Amino acid sequence: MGTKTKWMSSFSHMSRLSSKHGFFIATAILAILPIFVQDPYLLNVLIISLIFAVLTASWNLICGYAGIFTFGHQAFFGIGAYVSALLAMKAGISPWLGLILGGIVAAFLGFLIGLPCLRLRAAPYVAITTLAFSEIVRITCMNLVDLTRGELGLWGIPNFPDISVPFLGVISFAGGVRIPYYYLILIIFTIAMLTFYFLLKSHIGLAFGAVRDSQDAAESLGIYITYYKLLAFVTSAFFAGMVGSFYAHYILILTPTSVFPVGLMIEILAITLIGGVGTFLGPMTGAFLLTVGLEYLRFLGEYRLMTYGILLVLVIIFMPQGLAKNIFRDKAISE
Amino acid sequence: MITGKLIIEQVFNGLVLGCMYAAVASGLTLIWGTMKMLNFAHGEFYMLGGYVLYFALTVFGIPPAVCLLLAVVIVFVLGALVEKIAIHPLLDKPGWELSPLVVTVGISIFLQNLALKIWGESFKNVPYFLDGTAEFFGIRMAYQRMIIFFVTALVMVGFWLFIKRSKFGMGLRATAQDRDAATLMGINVKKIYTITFGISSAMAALAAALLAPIFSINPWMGNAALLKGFITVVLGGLGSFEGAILGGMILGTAESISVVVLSSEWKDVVAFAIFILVLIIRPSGLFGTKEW
Amino acid sequence: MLNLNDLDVFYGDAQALWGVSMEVREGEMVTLLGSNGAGKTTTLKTISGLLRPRKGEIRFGDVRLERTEPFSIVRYGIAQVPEGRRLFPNMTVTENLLVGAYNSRGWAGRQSTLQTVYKIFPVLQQRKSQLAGTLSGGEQQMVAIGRALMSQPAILMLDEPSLGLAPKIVEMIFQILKDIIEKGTTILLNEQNVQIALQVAHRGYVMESGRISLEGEASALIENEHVRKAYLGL
Repeated sequence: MGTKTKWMSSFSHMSRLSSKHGFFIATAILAILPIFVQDPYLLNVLIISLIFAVLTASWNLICGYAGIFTFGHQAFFGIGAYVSALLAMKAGISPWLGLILGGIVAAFLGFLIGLPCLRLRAAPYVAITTLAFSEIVRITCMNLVDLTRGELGLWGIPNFPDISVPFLGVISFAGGVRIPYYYLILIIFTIAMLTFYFLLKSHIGLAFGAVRDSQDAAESLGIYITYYKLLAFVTSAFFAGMVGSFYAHYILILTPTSVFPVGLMIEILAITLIGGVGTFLGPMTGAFLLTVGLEYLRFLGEYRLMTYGILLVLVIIFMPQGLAKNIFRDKAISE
Repeated sequence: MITGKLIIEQVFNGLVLGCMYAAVASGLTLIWGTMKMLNFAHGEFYMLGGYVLYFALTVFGIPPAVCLLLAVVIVFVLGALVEKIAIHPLLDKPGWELSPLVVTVGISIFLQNLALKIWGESFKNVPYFLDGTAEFFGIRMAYQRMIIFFVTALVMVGFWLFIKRSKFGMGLRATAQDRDAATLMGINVKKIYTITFGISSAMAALAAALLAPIFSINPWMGNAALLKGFITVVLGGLGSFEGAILGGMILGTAESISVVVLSSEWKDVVAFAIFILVLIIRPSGLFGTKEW
Repeated sequence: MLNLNDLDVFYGDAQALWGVSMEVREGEMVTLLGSNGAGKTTTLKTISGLLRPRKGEIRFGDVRLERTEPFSIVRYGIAQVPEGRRLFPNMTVTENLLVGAYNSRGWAGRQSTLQTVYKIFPVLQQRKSQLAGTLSGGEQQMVAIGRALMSQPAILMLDEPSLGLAPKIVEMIFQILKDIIEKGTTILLNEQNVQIALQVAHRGYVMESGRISLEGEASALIENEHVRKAYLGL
C-alpha cells in the first residue's frame, strides 16, 4: 500500500469508534460531569436526558434490534411510575424496592401486550395494537380516581429514603437535591445499557436479528420465535418500568397525562430515529441532543414547539439514517 | 333507565359517529394503500377543516353547504402542498417505512402549535346547520346528525366510484398494486401521490366540518381523530376501504352503546378492547389485506 | 430511431454499464443477448427512465431522453414489457390492458385497440374478467405484451419474455412478435434464449459484464464462434 492509503486507512480505523468504546467514554464523562456542573437546573436537564436515554434504549431493543415496531412504550413507563408510587404511599413499600417492582409489573404488562401481537405480521398492526393497549392503560389509570386521583394528580410521592454507601456515608435524597438522583439514574442507565449489551452480544441478540430481518426465515431455522418476541417485550418493558419508577420518586407527583400520553411515545420515536435506530449508542445520543436542544429552544417561547416540529421534518429530510449511524458505524453488536 | 328505545337511538348515533370514523379512516387507508406510509398529520388536516368551517360559518356568515365545500377545497390544497414539500424528498431514499411517519409527526406538532398560536386555546363553538329533530316510530334523530349521515354516505359513494371508475382512480389503483409497473405504463406516480394526499386530507376535513356543531373546535381535536382513525383502519384491515367503513361503524356503535350502558369515561376502553379482541381472532383485520 | 451513445449507468456506487452504445432502426427487431447480470435489464430500465445514466445520451429521433421523466417517455412511444410480467394482480385482464393505454396516444382509441389485442390473443378475450393474478404464466405474458401494445408504441421493448414459459408458448409468443414487426412496430428484446432470439431478430448485441462485446446481423451472430460456445453450448 502506498503511504497515502496507509495513512487514510489508519485514520478511518480511528473514526470507526466502536460502540463499546463510545459507551465507556460517554459514561466516564457523565460520571465526572457533576464536578463541573452544579446548577440544579442543568442537572435536572441531564437527569431527564438520562431518563430518556434508558427509555429510548429500551424501546430501541424491541424496535431497532428485534424489529417489532411498538407504539405504546410509554405505558410501561407510566405503569412503573404509578405502581411504585402507589406501593410506597399505600403499602409503605420502600421506593428502592419499588424500582424493581415497577419494572416487574411493567414486564408483566409487556408480556400481556406481547401475546396478541405475536400473530400480527405487518408493522402498522403491531403499532396500532400497542397504541390501543397503552390508551386502555392510560384511561383506566385516569378513571380509577379513588386509587390514583386521576387528573387531580398523585401528590406527595415519597422520595428515595436515605441510603448508606460505603466510603461515602449516608446519602440523602430529600430536600430537592439533584446530585444523588443524578448518580442513581446514571447507575440505572449503566446497568440497563450493560444488560442490553450482553443480551445483544449473546445468542439472544442473534435471534432478535433473525426475527427482525425475516420472520419466515427465522421460523424455518427452528428459532422459537414466540419465546424471543416475548423476551423482547418483557425486557424492554422492565427497564421502561424501572425508569418510570425512578421518575415517580424524583418528580414526586404524577398525573396520567404526564406519564402516559401518546406524545411521550412520539418523543421516544423521534429521539431514537434521530439518534439512529438499531444502533447501540443512537438512543442515548438522540436523548441528550433532543432534551438539551429542546431546553435551548426555550427562548423561542410560544414558537418553541413549532420550531421543534419543523426541525424534526428538516432533520429527517436531510439525514434519513440518523446521526449515530453516521458516526458510530457498527452494524452488529458482535463486532 | 336503559330502554330498547334508548339503545336504538344510540345505535343510530353510533352509526353517525361511525360515518365520521369511516371518513377519517378512508383517508388514512387510502394513503396507506397507495403510498405505503402512515400519515400522522392526518388529525391536523381534520382540525384545519374544523377551523375553516368555524371561520367561514360564524365569522363570514357563509351558508353551511358552501362552508363544507370551502373546507374540502382548502384542506385539499394544503394536503397536496404538504405532500409536495415534505414527503416528496423522501420518496426514493432508504427507510421509507419510518421516515414519512416521523416527518408527518413533525408536521403534526408544527400544525397543532401553529393553530394554538394563531387561534388560541379556547374551544370554539359552531351552531347547528339545521336545528330541530325528526321522529321516526318514536325514535328521535337530530337533523344535524341526519345531515352528517347523508353527506358522508354520499361522499363515500362518490369516492368509491371515483377510485373504481375514473381514469385517475385506475392510475391510483395501479400505483398501489405495483409502483414501478405503473410508471412503465406512463402513470405519473408523483402526481398520484400528491393528489391522494390531498383527497385524504380533504375527507378528514369534511368529517370535522360536519361534526363541528356537535363537538367543538380546538387545536388538539385532531389527536382523538387520528387515534380512532388508525384503530378503525387496522380493525377493518389495512388498505381496505370496505374495512374502513365497517370498522368505523363497529367502533362508533360500540362507543355509543357503552356510553349509556357503562359510562362515557369508559367508552374508549370498551372500543379499544373490542378492537384488540377482533385482532386476536382475525390478525389482519376484518377484511385482511385486500388491495385497492 | 433509437440511439444509445456511450452510456454509463450506476446503481449507487456500483457501475453497471460501461460506455454502452447501440442503435435500433425503424421496423427492425434487435435483440440484446447475455447472461444474468450482464446489464440487459439495466439497459432497458435506463431507456424507460427508471434509471438515469451518469454519462452518455439516449436519442429517440432527435429527442434526448436521458433526463426525461419516465411517464413522459411512454408518451413518446416507448413501451416496456418488464421482466416477470409485473401485471396488476388485483385488476382484471381488461383493466390491466386498459392501464396500458393510460398516458399515451393510445388512450383515445383504447376500446378499438383493446379489440385488436383480443384478436391477437384470443385466449385473453375468454379470460377478460378474470383477475390477472390468477392467470397462468403464458397467459400473463400475453397480457403483459398486450398491455404494452395498448399504448400504440413506436418501439416495444421486452425483458426476457420467454422466462419461465413452456417451449410451445415461447414459440407462439415469438410468432406474434414477428407479426408485430410486420405491422410496423419496432422491437428491442432482452433474451436469454439465444437460439430463438437470433432466429427471429434482424440484429443483435451481446452484452457481457455491462459492456457490449459483440454486435451484428443475427445470421452472423448465430455463426459466431464465441456465441456458439458460450450461449448455444455448441
